[in-house]
Amino acid sequence: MVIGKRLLPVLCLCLLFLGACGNRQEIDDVAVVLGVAIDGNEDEYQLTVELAAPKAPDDLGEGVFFVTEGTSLEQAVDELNHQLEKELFWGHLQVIMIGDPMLPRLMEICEYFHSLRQLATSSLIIAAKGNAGEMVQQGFGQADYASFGIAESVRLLQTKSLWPNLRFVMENLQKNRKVDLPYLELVKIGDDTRLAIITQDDIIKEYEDDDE
Amino acid sequence: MPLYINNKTSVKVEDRIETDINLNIAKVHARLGTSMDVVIREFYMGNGQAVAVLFIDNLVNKEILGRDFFAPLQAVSGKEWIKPAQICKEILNIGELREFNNFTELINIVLQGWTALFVAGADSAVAVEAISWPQRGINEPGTDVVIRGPREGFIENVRANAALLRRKIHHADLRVEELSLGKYSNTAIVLIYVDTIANKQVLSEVKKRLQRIDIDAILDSGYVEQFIQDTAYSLFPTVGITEKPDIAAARIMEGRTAILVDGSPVALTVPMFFAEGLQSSEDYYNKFYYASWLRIIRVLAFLANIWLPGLFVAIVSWHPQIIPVRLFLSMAAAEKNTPFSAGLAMLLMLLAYEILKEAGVRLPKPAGQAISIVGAIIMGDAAISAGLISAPVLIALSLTVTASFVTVNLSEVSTVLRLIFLAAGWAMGLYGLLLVNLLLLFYLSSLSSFGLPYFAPFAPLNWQGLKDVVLRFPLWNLQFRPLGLSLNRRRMRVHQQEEK
Repeated sequence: MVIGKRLLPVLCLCLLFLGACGNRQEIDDVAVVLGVAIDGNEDEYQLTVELAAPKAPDDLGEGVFFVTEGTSLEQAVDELNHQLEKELFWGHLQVIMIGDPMLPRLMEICEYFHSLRQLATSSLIIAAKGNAGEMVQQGFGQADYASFGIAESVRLLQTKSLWPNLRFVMENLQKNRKVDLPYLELVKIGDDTRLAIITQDDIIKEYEDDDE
Repeated sequence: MPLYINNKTSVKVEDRIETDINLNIAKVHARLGTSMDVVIREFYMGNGQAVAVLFIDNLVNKEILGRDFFAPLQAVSGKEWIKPAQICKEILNIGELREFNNFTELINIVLQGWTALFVAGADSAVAVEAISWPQRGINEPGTDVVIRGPREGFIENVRANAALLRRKIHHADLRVEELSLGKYSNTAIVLIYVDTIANKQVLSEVKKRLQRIDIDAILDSGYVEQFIQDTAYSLFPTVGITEKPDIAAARIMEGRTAILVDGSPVALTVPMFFAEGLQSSEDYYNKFYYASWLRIIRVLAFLANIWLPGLFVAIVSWHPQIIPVRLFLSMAAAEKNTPFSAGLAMLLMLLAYEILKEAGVRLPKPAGQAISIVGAIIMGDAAISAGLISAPVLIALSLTVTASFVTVNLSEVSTVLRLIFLAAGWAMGLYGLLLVNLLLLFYLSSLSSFGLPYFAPFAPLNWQGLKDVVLRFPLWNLQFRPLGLSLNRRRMRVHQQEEK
């Protein structure tokens, strides 16, 4: 068949690109990462991740938090993979929260996440005044998952510029432009510790329950 | 005056009709054996001339024979010997009469329901058409069902079917040609076309392909379809089918040729283009905007039918990041308790559906309903409750199955394509789907139907033709027949209304 003979080289060429798809993963075989907080110092990374634990189609459940450490981000993630015995799925990562001391390494952190397969480039990058791990566990609002609450609130309140997602931050850093990240901070309101969003030291929103 | 045709030709010795009636009867017995339905009756005409009648029981109308055949023969007066030609012209007053001197041809026509009359002393015989056999009435066919439009459908009688078409096209240029196919079945095949519209090259190709068929029996038009299609292993149908005279007539008026097969209520129309699978007769009876909307729905349904299972599996298994996060988590929760991967679950459910569909079609109606209920309960509820499959898989499958009923003309090819796309999506994700789509477009573009490009008017692109594919432009805009079908392309002239 003439058409078959003509198509054969095209087919062979197409097969070369198969690797671009990566490996197949069933959605019930992966650990879905919704939020990640990065703390640490010059020698060590501390990673706090929120994993999704849906119970039923009509009950999405609550987040489960894991904390790991490593001398590099790769090592910390590998350690987490080892603990979970499941592959981490980054496709629905909502927020990457970076503690104050780690901000000088922002470019390095962004490059690492950007290199991850299936990463959602719409993930928000948020700076944390203090311990990012604590804040990500604290959550924001009454969303079922802490990361959802943080992401939704930041998207609502960040009016000064585009949402500081991974792609936006990377592009600006590569062009040596200043990036205004939204800051989160734990604040004391009465006896409660609450999360608040601040930008450039101006508190623009404090989290308050509707009844307060 | 009845129609008289002289079929006398030069014949071989063994095919001669004998002047001795007994020799003819012996030849009939030798040729047809002792079949219980072969009736031979000898009698004397009114003038004392010996004759013998041959017919097949239950294929003839005995009332007509008694009134218009036997009675006039027995009423002949005088003593003069009468020739078969005279009998035809002067005595019998019955529909169609033919005179044969070829025994084989005579037997063949008797087997089709004609009645033969051997005349003592004559080397030819008379054949009378008084055919009548049990047949169902003309009613609405199960396929091509419409809300608006004619309800009548073809039946198993090829002559009745030809008449249905003749009733739609009252024109002298309508040609109805008959030929016989099948070594044993001698099935009547009727070609119908409009002489001044049909593309003669295509027509001669159709005839050539029909004459090439050498088979024992043609039991349905499906046999003919498979023998005359362009590519033996073609996935797509390159021969159109319809059970409705209005659709067949419309296609004939576009320049196509209809092929009717005796014993089949399904008419074939050639050539066929891919776009015909998306069209319905009702499109032309409704207003253009509504017809266009239905066409769009049909295109979407066809795409959903072939893509949806593969697309679902590709997204769930390869690209779950493109699913909105909450839906993703809901789907993950649903998939969590099932033992099969999304691809395997979809494949199993598709197989289960095909089994149920086949069972529903073959079983008697009451049992078919029971199967439907069992199928619905098993597939719809129990399988999810038992944790065999997840609800999202079932939803995707239900949408696919529903969409499959929208483009019934393409249902065979859709079933195969659906599985190919599922395999591609399962094995290679969205990339696989794109790859198969590309190959499918190549394939469609390479197909032809009786020498005309099958994927027209998309490839080769023809803007005029596109007015009647995905959209259906107003009728006054469809002034030309599809490209290639006819040399006489203009089918209407639009006259401007006179301004008052």
